[in-house]
Amino acid sequence: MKGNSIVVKLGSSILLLVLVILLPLGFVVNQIFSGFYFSKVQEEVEEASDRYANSIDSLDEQQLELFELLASVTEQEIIIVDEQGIVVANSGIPSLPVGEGIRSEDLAVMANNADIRSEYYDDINNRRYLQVGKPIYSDDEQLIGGIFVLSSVEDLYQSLELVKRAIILAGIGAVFLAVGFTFILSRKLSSPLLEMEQATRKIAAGDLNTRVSRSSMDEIGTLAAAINDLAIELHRYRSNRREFLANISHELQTPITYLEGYTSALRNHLYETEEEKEQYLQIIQLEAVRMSNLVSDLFELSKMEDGKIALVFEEVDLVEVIENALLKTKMNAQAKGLQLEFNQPYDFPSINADGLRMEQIISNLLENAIRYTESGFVKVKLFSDITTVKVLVEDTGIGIPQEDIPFLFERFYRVEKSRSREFGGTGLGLAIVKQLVELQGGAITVESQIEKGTCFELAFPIIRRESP
Amino acid sequence: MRRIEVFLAILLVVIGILCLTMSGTLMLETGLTVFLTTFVQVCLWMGIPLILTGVIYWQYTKKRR
Repeated sequence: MKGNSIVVKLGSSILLLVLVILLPLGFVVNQIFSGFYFSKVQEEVEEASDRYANSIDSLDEQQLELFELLASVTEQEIIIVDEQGIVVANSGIPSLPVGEGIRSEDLAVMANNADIRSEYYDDINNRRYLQVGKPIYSDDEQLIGGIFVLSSVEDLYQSLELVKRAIILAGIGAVFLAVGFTFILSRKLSSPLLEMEQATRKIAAGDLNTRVSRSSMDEIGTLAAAINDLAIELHRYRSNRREFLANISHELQTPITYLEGYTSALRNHLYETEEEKEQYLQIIQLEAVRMSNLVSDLFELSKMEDGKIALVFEEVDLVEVIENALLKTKMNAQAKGLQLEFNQPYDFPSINADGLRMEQIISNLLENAIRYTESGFVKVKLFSDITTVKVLVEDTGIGIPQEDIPFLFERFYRVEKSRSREFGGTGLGLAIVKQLVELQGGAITVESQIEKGTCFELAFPIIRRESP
Repeated sequence: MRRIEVFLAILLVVIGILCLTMSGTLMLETGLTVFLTTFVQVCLWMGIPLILTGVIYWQYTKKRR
C-alpha cells in the first residue's frame, strides 16, 4: 500500500476526525465527573461548617472537646482557631497541631468576616483536603476566632484517576474500532477506482474491448459507465478511421486507374478511330470530374466537422428553395420517366437558414431519390405546426434495409456493399446533408421499406416574429 | 480485499472491542462472566447502528426495485 494511496488518506482523515471528537469529549466527561463529585463534597463541607459556626459562641475547653468529639464520629476534620489565628482545637490534621498558627492570608480573609474555600495539602500524611473556614462570633457579635471544616478528597482523586484511565482506555478502543472499520470502508471505496485505473490504462494501451464492471448506481457507478462509453466511442472512432482510410483509398484508386489506363492508351495510340479517341477523352474527363467532386465533398465535410464553414443565415422561403431544387433535378427525373410532385402550400412560414445550403440539401435528397427509384414518383411535401416546419422527400424506390438505417449518414456508408458503384455518387452526400441540417439547427430522420420506398424528413424551427 | 487485509481489519475491530470492554469493567468486580457480559453488551451497542443502517438500506433497495 502506497503512502499517498486513497486508503491511507481516507484512513488518516477519519482517524483525525475520531481524535478531534474523542479528545475534547474525554476531557469534558472527565470535567463532568470531577465537577459532580467535588461540588457534592463541597456542599457537605459548606453545610457542616455553617452549622458548626452558628452553634459555637465561645472557645472554652468544653466546647472545643465537644467539637473534637463530633469530628471523630463524622468523616470530616475540624480545626478551631482563635482571633490571632492560633489553632486551639484539632480533630486530626497532623500539620496543624494545637498552638500552631494558620496562614496569614487566611487570617486576613477571616478578619474581613469572609469565608475561606480552598484545597489544603497536609505534607505530613500526604493527604489533600477540601476546606471551608467560617468566622466565629460571640453573642455580642465580636469576632472570637474561626472554624475550619476539612474533608479528605484523596479517595475522590483516586476514583477520578480510575475514571480517567477508563476513559482513556475506551478512547483507545474507539480509535482501534475506527481504524478497523475505516480500513474496510476505504478498501471498499478504493477497489472500484483501482479497477477503473487498470481498465483505463489498458484502454490507453490500445485494448479497446476492456470494460469496467458497474457495481453501483452512485457517482462511482456513473464514472464506470462513462469509462465504458469512452472505450466504445474510441473503438468506434478507430474503426471509422480505418474504414475511412480504406474507403478513400478505394474511391480515389478507381478514377486514377481509369485515368492511368486511358491516358496510356491515348499516348500509345491504342485506338482505331477518332470516335474511339473522343470516347476515351470523355471517360478521362468524367473520371477527373468525379475525383474533383469527391475531393471537394471531402473538403467541405471536413470544414463542416471542424466548424469552419460560414453559413449566411437569413429568412428563407422553403417553397422557393424547393422549386429551385426541383427545377435542377427535373431533367434527371424525366430521363428515368419519374413523376416529380410538390404540394405547394400557401402562406407557409419562413425559417432562419442559409438559402443556398438549404437548396443543396433538398437537391441532394432529390438526386438520391431519383437515383434509387426506377419507376413511380418522387414527392416533396411541406408541413408546419406551431414551432417547426417539416419537409418530406418521399420516393417509391428500392428502399433501405432497417439494419442499414442507423449508419446511413456516415461517411462512405453505402447500402449497396459491392464496390461496383452501380448507382454512382461519392458516398458523402448524406453525411454532408446531415451536417448542413444540424448546423442550421434542424434534424433529419429517415423511414424506409424495402421495395416500397424511402422518406427523409427534415425539421427546422420556425422564425418567431415579435408582435408590434 | 486480500485475506491478510481482512484479518488485519477484524483484528483491529476485536482489539477495539476488547479495550472498550476492559474500560467498561474497570470499576466493576473482576471475573470472566462480568467481562464476557460487558463484551457482548459492547458488541450489541456497536451492532445497533450497523443493523439499523442495514435495515434502512434493505428497505431502500427493495423500494427501488
